[in-house]
Parts: sequence; C-alpha cells; structure tokens
Amino acid sequence: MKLVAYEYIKIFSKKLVLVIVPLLILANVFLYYQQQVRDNEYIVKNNPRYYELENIYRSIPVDKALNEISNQIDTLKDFHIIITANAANNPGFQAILEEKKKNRPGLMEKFMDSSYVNDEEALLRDLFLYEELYTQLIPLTNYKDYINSMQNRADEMLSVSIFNEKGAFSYRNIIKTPKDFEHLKNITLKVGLDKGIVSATQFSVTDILVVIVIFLLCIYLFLQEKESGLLKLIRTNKKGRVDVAVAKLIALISLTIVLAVVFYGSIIIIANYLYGFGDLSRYIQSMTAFRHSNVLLTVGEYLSLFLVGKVTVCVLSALIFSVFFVLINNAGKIYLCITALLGYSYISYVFVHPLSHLNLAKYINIIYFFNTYSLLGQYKNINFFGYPVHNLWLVMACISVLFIILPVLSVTIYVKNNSSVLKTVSFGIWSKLKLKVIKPGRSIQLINHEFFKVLFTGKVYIIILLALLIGYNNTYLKELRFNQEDAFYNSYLNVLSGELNEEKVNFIVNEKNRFAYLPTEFANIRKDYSEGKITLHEYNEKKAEVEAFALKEEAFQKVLTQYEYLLKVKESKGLEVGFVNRISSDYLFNNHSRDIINGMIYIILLILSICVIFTNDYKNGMISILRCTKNGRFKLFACKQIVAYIIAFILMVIIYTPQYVNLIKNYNVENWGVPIQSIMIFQNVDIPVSVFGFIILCNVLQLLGALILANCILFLSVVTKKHSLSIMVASMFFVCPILIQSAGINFLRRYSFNNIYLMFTEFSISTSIWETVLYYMVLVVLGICFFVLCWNKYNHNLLTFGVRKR
Amino acid sequence: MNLSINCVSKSYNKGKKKALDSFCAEFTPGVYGVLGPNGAGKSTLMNIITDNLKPDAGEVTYNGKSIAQLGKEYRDILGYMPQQQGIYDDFTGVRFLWYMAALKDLKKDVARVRIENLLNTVNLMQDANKKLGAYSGGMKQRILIAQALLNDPKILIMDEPTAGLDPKERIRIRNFISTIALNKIVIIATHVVPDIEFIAKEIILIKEGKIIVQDEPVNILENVKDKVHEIYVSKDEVDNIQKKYKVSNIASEKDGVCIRIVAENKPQGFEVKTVKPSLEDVYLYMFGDESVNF
Repeated sequence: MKLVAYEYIKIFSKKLVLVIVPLLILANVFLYYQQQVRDNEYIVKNNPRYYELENIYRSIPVDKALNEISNQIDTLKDFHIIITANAANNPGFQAILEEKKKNRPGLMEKFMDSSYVNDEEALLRDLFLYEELYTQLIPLTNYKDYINSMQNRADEMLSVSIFNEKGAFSYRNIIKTPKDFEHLKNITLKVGLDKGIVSATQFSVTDILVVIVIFLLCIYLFLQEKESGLLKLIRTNKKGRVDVAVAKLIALISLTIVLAVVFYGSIIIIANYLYGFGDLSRYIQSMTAFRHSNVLLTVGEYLSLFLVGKVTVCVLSALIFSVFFVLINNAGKIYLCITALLGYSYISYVFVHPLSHLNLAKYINIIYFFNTYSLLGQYKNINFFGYPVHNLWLVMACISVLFIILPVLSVTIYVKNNSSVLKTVSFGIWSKLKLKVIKPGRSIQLINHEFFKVLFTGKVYIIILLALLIGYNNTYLKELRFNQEDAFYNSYLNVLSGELNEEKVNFIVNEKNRFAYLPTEFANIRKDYSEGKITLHEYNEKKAEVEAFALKEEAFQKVLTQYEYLLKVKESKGLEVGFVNRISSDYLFNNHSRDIINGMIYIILLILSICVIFTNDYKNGMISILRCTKNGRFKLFACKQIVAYIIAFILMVIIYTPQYVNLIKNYNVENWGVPIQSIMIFQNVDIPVSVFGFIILCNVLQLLGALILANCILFLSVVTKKHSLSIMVASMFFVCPILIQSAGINFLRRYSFNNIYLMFTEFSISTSIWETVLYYMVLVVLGICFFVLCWNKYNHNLLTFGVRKR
Repeated sequence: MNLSINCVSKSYNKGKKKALDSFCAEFTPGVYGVLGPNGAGKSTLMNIITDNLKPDAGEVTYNGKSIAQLGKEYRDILGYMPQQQGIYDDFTGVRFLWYMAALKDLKKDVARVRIENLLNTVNLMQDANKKLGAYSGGMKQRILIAQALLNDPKILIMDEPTAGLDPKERIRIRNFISTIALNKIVIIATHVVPDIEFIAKEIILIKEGKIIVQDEPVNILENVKDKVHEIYVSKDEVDNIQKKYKVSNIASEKDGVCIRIVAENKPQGFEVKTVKPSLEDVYLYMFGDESVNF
C-alpha cells in the first residue's frame, strides 16, 4: 500500500496535473452546457413549464393524450395566425384567417378568452412545448404493435430465399431477433423528456478529455522515471519490479475510476439540472432514442449502467495505454502508436459496414466500446463466425478477457525490462546502413547539424515517412467514376465553364426551352406515329432520343440554379462571374470533414516533429554546453526556429498536396480564373480575387497559421523542457480543440487554431473579410509574443532546473 | 588577461538557500583548483562564470568588462567541460566535434585541423566514427574535453575532468592541462585532490558559498604543517580513534594499524609521528566536520 501511496504522491506533486485536470473538468462541463443551451435553448429555459404540461397528460391514456395535444397544437397554430394576421397588414394572412374562422366557429372567442391575447411569447413557447410533448408521446403509442410485428417481419424475410439459407448468419439473426424482444411485449411505457438522458449519454467530448487525462497519468506513472534515468535505480531494489508495477497499475486504475466518475457524473448532473430526467422508474423504451433496445432497463438503471460502462471502458483504455508506456521508451513513439491504434479503431468503426464479414473489427474496438449508449440503447447482433451474438455480451466478454490479459502483460513487460522485449536486428542493420550511406556531417553550418539532430536523433524521419504514407493513401490512384447525374452535369459544365457570355446564356435558354417543350415533343412524336407520319423504327429512335435528353433534366436543374445565382451576383456586385464546376468546387471547398481530418493529422505530426527540437538538448544536459558557445544563443535559437518552420512547411505540403492532385486528376478545373464569388458558398466573400487566387490566398494563410503554431509549440517545449510533457501540453492546446470540433462543437473554430485548417469554411461562413483579418491579426500578435517569450525563456532560463549543487 | 568574480551572490528557493555569498576571486593565466564539499557552491560558480546563470548580486568581468555585456565575444574565448552527462547518442564522435565547431563559429579548414589534432590528443581517433551512445564513460569524458578545447579558449572551465578515467588517462589529462595552461585561465572543480595538487597555481577552498582559503598549494599546506600525525594502534582501538579524531587514512601493518589523523594538537597516549601534510589532509581539516550526506 505504501508503494501505491507513493505513486499517488508522484501524480499529485505535479503542478501540471493539479492545473490541467480541474481545467479539463470545467471545460467538459462548460462545453456540454454551452452546446445544450445553444441547441435546446427553449426547452432549457422553459423546463418548468414543460413539466407542468407533462404532468397534465401523464395520467391520461396515451392515445387520448395524443389527441388532446394534437388539438391543442392546432388551436395554438390558429391563435398564431390570428396574431400574425392582426399584426401584419397582409391580405394573404387575412384570407387564411377568414378561412379559419369559417371552419372553426368560436375560434376568435376562444382566443380572446385565452391568456395568449397579449402574450405572443407565451403562445410560441407553449406551441413549441406541446409539439415537443407530442414527440415524446409518439414512441409510447405503437410500441406494442412494433414488438408484436417483429415475428411477422421475420417470417416475411425468411420467405425470401437469400435469407432462408440455414446455417447462415442472416438466417440465425432473423430467427433470434423476435425472441430477443419477447420479454418487452407487455411492458408499460410512460412519457418523459428524453433530451437530458440522450444528450448526457451521447456527449462524446467527455471521452476525448478523459483519454487525455489518462495519457497524462501514464506519462507521470511510467515515462518520467524512464526519461530521468530513475528506472534503473528503482529496478535494483527488492520491491522494485513486480511490486512497483502492480502499485502503478493500482494507482492508474483507481485514479481513472475516480476521474471517469467525476467527468461523466458531472455531465449527468448538468443534464438533470438543465432538463430533468423525469420519472426514473420508467423504461428506456419510452424514449424514441431507445425504441430499438431490447435491454429492459429503467431510466435510473440505464444512467447507472451508463456510468459503470464508461468507467469500465476508461479503465480498459488506461490498461491499454499502460502496455504501450511500459513497452516503448520514447514519448513520440508511444504517442504515435496510441494515435495509430485509435485511428485504426475509428476507421474500422466508421467505415466497416455493419453486415460486413469484417464487422468484428467494427465492434470489437475501443472507439465502439466508448459508445456506451449504442451498447445499451441499440439492439445489434454481431456476426461472430456466423452466429449472431448480442453486441453487449460480446463486448463484455472481450473486456473481461482484456482486463485479465492487459495487467498481466504490463507487469510482465515492466519486470522483464522492455529493452530485451523490443530488441530487433533491424535496428542494428539500419544503424550500420546509416553510417555507411550518410557520411558523418563535416559541416560548419549549424543548420545542417540541427536538421540532423531533429531528423535522426529526434527520429523525425519516421514522422516524415508516416506523413508520406498518409499522403500517398489520400491520393486517388484509380480513375474516379461519376454517377449519371454528375456525368451529365460535367458535360454541361464542359460547355459552360468560364465567364458567362451571350453564347452561354443562349445555350442555357435554349436548353431550358427544350426541357419545357419536352412533354409536347413526346406528344408530337406519339401523334406522328399514330398518324403514320413516322415508322415504328423512327418513332422508337425519336422517343429514345427525347428520353435520353430527359435524363439530363436533374443535372440541368443544377445548372439552372447556378445560372440564376450567377445572374444575381452579376447584377448585385457587378462582377464578371462565370460557371465553376460545382462537383469540383465542392470537392475542394465544401469538404469540412476532410479538412478537419487533415488538420488533425497535420497538428499531431507537427507536434511530434517539433517538440523534440529543444527538449532533446535539455534532456541530455547539452544545453549548458551549447549556450556557452559563441553561436549558442540567438544564432542557435534562430536555427532551431528555421528548422521548425521548414518541417511545418514540408508536412503541410505532404498532407495537403493529395487533395490538389486528386482535384487536377479527377475533376474539371478549367476556367478557374473567374471571380471566387462565382461559387455559391463564397457569395459573401468581399475581396476581388479569382478562384485560383483564392486557393493561393487560403494556402498562404494556412501556412502562416502553421508557422505561428510552430512558434507556440516551440515555446511550450522550452517551458516544459521534457519531451513527453511538451507533447502532452501541446496536444491539449492544439489537438484537443480540433477533436472537440470534430465532435460537433463548432464555435471553437474561431477561438482556437482550428480555423487555419478550415479556411474554406471560414470564408464561406463569415460575412466580412475583416473577421478573417482580425483572426489573423490576433494570431500574428500571438506568434510574435510566443517568439519573444520563447527566446527569453531560452536565453534567460539559466539552469534553474538541474543545477547540481556541490 | 584577467577574470574577476566581483562579490557575486546567488540564492535559490526564494532566498532560502544561499549558494554563493559575496564570492570574490581574481584569475590570471594558470590552473586554479576549486575544492569543496557537496553543496558548497562549485556548480553555481561554474555556471555563473560560463554565463549560464545570472548572479543575484555582483558581476563577473573579463579584462574589466562584464561578461554579460561581452556576450558572444566572451563565449568565443570560453571552453566549458561540464561534469559527465548525456550527449547525443546518435552522433558519431567526429560529427559531434563538427557540430561544436559550428557552434564555436570556426572556419572549415581550421575546424578540420583542430578536430584531427584533438582526437589524437584525447586518444579517440580510432573511435571517431563510432556513435557516442556506444562510448564508455571515460571516452565520453575525453570527447567532452576535446569539444571544450576546439576554439582554443582563453578561459577553460572544467568540472570533474578526470571522473571515470583510469589512472593512466588521468595522468595524461593532468599533464595535458598543465601544458596548455601556460597562456590560459583554467579553473577545475574536482573532488579528486591529486588532479590539482601538483598542477594548480592556486587552490580555492569553498564552503557554503564562501571562500575559506584562496592561496598557493604550498602556503595552504604550510597552514596545516604541524597538524597531521600518524599514530600506531591495535585493531581494537581503531573505532575509538575514528570517533575522537579526523582520520584521513587507515593502513594495516604487520603488528597493528597506522592511522593518519588531522588534529590541532598532537594526540596523547599513542606512538605519534608528525608527518608532511597533503592537500587531502587540508580538505579533511577544513571540511572534516561536514556530516556525510548519503
């Protein structure tokens, strides 16, 4: 127990932990609160009134309640028409009102007697809340029918031969499904607001923050002793192997449990405060989100199990991380491996089809395990070697096995000393090859040596190789195939792309007229054939031609919409706009998720590459020698900065080139010299620049942002001086926001560095160029400040750490 | 050429721990040894002289000019060899020296010649293309000495230069230092008294941040002339003697034990012989009441 206590002391003596963890807890709560208030402001503000209404209908049979609420909604809508008609001097509204009065005598009197006469706000509020109440009641109405009809649906499916193959997964699954819902046939459902429960248990930002905290705990428990050289000392003691390893695991698990409870528990508490959970004894099937669950749980039980589930997954994550931390010595490699594991899990979870034979990879992975809502709230059978197994039981079995294997693995590796586990011949061969091929640098150029240090001593060449691999993977090597509609659209744009001139206008008008004339054309051809003016063969030919033309109508509608937009812009802004292929422009400019993913990849690789630049010298104590030399101050500092900038540039080129290669290779990019306002999403851009110019501008801005980011990362590495810590802190400031943004919290974009990866989104959303200018001005000021602070820290931080007092 | 430490003070832990207390010293060309127990302030002094640490009070001047103001100019004539520490494991010995040459702003042809000479001097020519990670402790010491001498510094600061070296190498380095020190200020901080006993022009004994003594070795030894004695006792009496006196050496002999002690007065009741003191005896005399920190 003493050893465990000392492990706790190691954690809690770190100021960074005492600052970061409370900050993340607050951030977690704040982000949830902000999101809920923004998305469900009405419900949150009018919660008491909602429950007031709910109480009225709680004891009434559901069908009757639905009927009454429906009538009440109609009445309130009519009241709203009355108010609107009276307020607006609009003949249209007056006509509607007269119609209403005719169909519903007594409506006016009812309105005048109601409390909404002088209170439109209350009317709108109640209308919204009644509609919400109606939505909450819907799942209760036909649930019994839904359950009872399962067997019928199963029988129907089995009547189709492809599903009736005995021994196949689909057959077994169809047989199993109705049986799994049998016990739900006679349950009683009650109304209750689902917003709190659903939002609290689907808030994925908490998962990201908890994983960061677990990573931080692992750094202090496992990596710090390796980096400081204390591990050898600890291992030479009687209790320095198994006992220490077990103590570390106990500390890690216990802290993870406490933190998970705090993080997830706080969200549940806030959800209850904002929405309330209603009757906790009602079954979860009372809510639409849980309609398809076959797990019979009350709301209270669900919330408890949710918390237990999340804690379990967090502990599992901690154990997985501990294996990596114990096995690998280098912070950068650990980070990469964990990122690779999470990346693979995410890709498998998102892209593997649920019915694919690879579905085990989709459902037996850590990202899926974190989706506790899906485990408890959705019925799913996983194809386990042809047998349908309920996802919950399979996941529980898997986690149970891992709970045994992982701690044993961690302890074994720790005891055996990972250097003997990791020794591979290939490293030795590579070292010899390097010595022969790469001549030991006989250069007096400082920058050459700094590059060598970063690339080889810092192992950044691995990062560059990884970036190249990612870039290669993102390049479409095969020819892109378009569907029929897009193919027709492309053929139109081949004719129309470029500046809008008279010829193109005439073409569009003629096409439009021809489409308008199509029904007549069809009729004429039929008439001509029936009158014998054309033969059957000619009839078929003409008909086929017209039908082929008709297929282009949807594509032409897109062209027409674009044309009308271009006319509007030409008129209002006086710009010589032109057609830009929308498929091409959407690929490049309207691909938010790709931009987020690229941004995430870029920042992770950048942090791993740059954090090593200064920390390497601090780690091995060389800093004191370097700073004593003639060029060891500003010149060395400047060289390191330049190396960082060059790496930032190289990574940017590698990560972002594939999208332009794909664009040029597979899409139509002719005539992109037209103004950027030719593209609908950029209608609000108020700078006179062509599409090409706009691309260059965005890339320049992105590069500027990346260089400023590099400055900030360097500053953090000089402050923390430790490789693992600098990665951790930089990730928190620069990776976390983009992860949170990818989970749907979009407001962070302009309050973080996220915007530099989302320049296209920025220009499409912002109403004025000055918003972007302001954002970059702030960034530039930040960049300069961090440069100055970094220099000051490097130059004046004169060995306050590590002076051996003798 | 003159390096002056002018009343330099430095504290840590918000003033609670005073590492140097109005430390004053003058250095001219020659070898200076800095001796003191752990926590005496030697490292702090070295870091202040190498401009890695700013003093709280006082200044260090070179030829009358503050080293902080001289900046690059001062570092151009400075060579620093810290106590054995981590270096770039992936660098070969020769790459490391080229890197240091770049930091010291040497011209390529000058660097080439000096690197070759120094590798020979420190006996690392054969291992020059091996990675530093594969070097033994002694080899790392030697490469660190080599880098310190690359720019032919006028001021050479060495922290435990012979730690990890075998006796033969120690003598070699000691002799090498004394030859190069003719026109350099060489300041050596060490625990190994013999390293400086015979080559140092002056010895500085430092305790709790203050200079106890700064003088030529012969004068320092003179101060403890009649204070070092050898007594012959039986084995049973050794413990008693250790409790009563500062013992600098215990040697087993045929019919007993010869104990060398440092004491103000000649011990009574024993077979005593007053002997010539060594610098180790001085060290024990000055710092012998320091409790040993394990």
